[in-house]
This record gives sequence, C-alpha cells and structure tokens, in this order.
Amino acid sequence: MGVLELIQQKSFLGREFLTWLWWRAECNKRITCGDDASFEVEILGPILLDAQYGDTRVLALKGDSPTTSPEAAVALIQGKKTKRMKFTLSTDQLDWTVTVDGENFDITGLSIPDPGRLPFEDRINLRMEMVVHFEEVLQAIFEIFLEARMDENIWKVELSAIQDWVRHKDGS
Amino acid sequence: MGDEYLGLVIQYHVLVGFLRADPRLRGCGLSANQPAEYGEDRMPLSMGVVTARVWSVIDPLPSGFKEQFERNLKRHAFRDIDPDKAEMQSLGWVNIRQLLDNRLNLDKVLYGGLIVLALRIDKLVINQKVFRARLAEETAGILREKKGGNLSREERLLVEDRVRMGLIRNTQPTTAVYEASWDLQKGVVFFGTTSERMNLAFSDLFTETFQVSLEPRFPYMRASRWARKQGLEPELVELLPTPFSPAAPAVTNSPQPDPGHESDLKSKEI
Repeated sequence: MGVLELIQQKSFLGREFLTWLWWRAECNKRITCGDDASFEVEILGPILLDAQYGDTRVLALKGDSPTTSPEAAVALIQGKKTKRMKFTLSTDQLDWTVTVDGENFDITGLSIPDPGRLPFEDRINLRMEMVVHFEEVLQAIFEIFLEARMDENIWKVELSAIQDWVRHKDGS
Repeated sequence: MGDEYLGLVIQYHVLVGFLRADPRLRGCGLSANQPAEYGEDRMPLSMGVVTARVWSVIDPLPSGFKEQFERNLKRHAFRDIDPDKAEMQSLGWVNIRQLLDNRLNLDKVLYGGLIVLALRIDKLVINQKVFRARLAEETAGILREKKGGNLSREERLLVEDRVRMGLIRNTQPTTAVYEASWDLQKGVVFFGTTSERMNLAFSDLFTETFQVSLEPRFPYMRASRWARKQGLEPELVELLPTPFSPAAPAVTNSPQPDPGHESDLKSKEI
C-alpha cells in the first residue's frame, strides 16, 4: 500500500485524536507528558464535526459554548468526530490558542506571546522558538493518544469512558 | 507579565547561543542576517497569529550546503513575469523583509539557526469579458477593412493572440507572498498557508532549492514515525476507525466509504 493511500486511510487518526482531546478536556483536564510537563485543555469554538456516512456529513458549531450545545451532543451520538477544533492549551507559564485540522494537523490562528519591538532577527527567532515548542507539545499529546489507541487494553478502557461521555452528553 | 517577558528573552538568548554553537553551522562561515528596517505587514509567521502547515525535513543537511544553498537560492529566486514569453505566472523566493528583493544570498535568509524566506507568486489574470469584448471589436475592425466576409481559422487565432498579448501587457499581476521558516537543528519547516496548491508548489521548490526532501506532518506520518520507534508499524497499518458513539455504525478502513453504507441513524439537518 502506498504512502498516499495510507495517509488518506488513516486520516481518521486526526479526527479521533481531536475528539479524544475534547473528552480529555471535559473529563480529565490535565494531560501530563513524559517530562512531567502538564497541560490543561479548554475547548473553544468553532468546532467542525464530520462523519463518513449519512446524509449530513459535516456540522459546524459556533457560538459561546459549542461543546455543551445540544447540537454537539446529537452530532457525537450520531457518530460524528471532530474534523477541526479551536482550543487552548495552557501550562503554568504559557497559553496557546489554536485551531487544528484533524485531516492534516494544519494550524491556524495560533496565538503566541508578543515579543515586543525587537530587531527582526531576535523577534523571528523568539517567535519560531515558541511555535516549535507548541508543535512539540502537540506531538507529545498526540503520542499520548497513540499510546492509548494502539494498546488494546488501555483503549478498551478509554473507549468505554468516551462512549459513556457521549451517552451523558445526550443528557439521558 | 514583565517577569514572563524577561523569562522569554533570557530563554531566547540561551537558545540562540546554543544554536550558534551547532556544529553543523560552525566553521562554515555562515552569519546571521544584517539588521535592517523591514515592513510591518501582518504575516503568518513573522507577525500576529500563526497559520501554517508543518513539514519535516527528512534528509540530513547536504555537505557543503552553504555553496549549494547560495547557488540554488539565486537560481530559484523570484523573477518578474515576462509577457513576451507568454508567461502567466511566476514563482520564486524573495527576501522575507522586502518582497521586491530577489537578490538572495545566505546572509539575507539565515537568522541564527533558522532559514527564513518568502515564496512570492505573481499571476496575470485576463478578464474574460474584456477579452471577448476586445476580440469582437478587433474582429469587427478587420472585417470592415476587408469589406465583409469571414476570418479564416488562422486569422482568428492570430487576432486572439494579439488581443491576449495586448491585454497581458496592460495588466498588473496579482502578487501573493507566503512566509517559510526552517529550523535547521530540529528539521522542522513551517509554511505560512494551509492552501493545498501552494503547499505543493512550496514543497517542490523547497526540495529543488535545498536538495532535501520534505514530508508533511499529517496524522499518519506522525503516527508512523512514532510506531516505527515502538515497533508497531504493522499494527498501525491494520488499525481501523473506532465508533466513539455506541449508536454509531462501524466504519470501514476506507477513505471514501460506499454511500450505501448507512445506518438507521442518519444525520439530520441541525
């Protein structure tokens, strides 16, 4: 199987990751990476959900609290997963607000602290250092997801918790 | 806030010192860019919020890369569209701090351990309504001179070419500039747009210029790298999507499932 085909076939990994992140944000806010760095996740809007079946495949949720809206609950129950989502990752020192696309992990609107009026060379180095740091954090969190996703026993437990979370979103 | 900022500046100076000590850069005569005034336009990497596709450089830096980069930056620098060559588009590198500066060298793109440059693309777009109107006008003029009759196919093509060239010469190209930053030490590249078409053009030009291959950091590529380290590549290839909702149907490992594969639980318009 070619790499292009695999990229397309496994694009569900990004959507599952973002949905998993949403679940983690609501049920178990802190995510700790290997080097004891810990992050808090807050899901903002807009959120784009999609499914690979059905008549209405894509649903965009905007507004003040899209995660708690009845529409979000309906979409998750119908089996939609998060295609694109805006969220905040916080550490004790830094906050990153960003929109990540689950298909390709493109980042849009990543806000980083303004380094102020520095010479261009200093500013671009400082900015890119912060962007690279964010990219490393995103990768670290994705690897935490992969560790769970690729381990049958861990995934069984997490999937059951995610399905409970989806069921409770419905309010039933 | 002041302490945070001071912390960032200190962190930065430690990092820059570290990057300058990078053995791959030592002794090769590379220097950081000269300070200069620059425009303050909002750009996706150098200013404001960041928008980018992330790429990995999957080859090591070629030996003697300084000379190679210098030579290839000149070769792939942006050049104005030449309407006499019937060009409708031009694409190439420019100085990130001055989009009119295409006389590139390493001093203009190397900032510590980063290569930072901009991809400029100019396009000529002819308004088709104006083209058709001019063509009709030109054709009518020729027919008046000929006192009737029709134009042959060859004559019609010649008139079309003449009208098109006339419009091209009087049309200003549209210009777009996209920033790119390559962290030489970490082998990560950020390209400041999520447009598929521009990312494709960027990766081709980047590879031709720097003679290193790029790989997009899509979920599968990231997972594949991780799985390789864990010895889980075969498991990753076999991995199937999981339904997160107990009520959702199982979805096969297919990029475009059969439209007939539907459950009773169809999505509704919300």
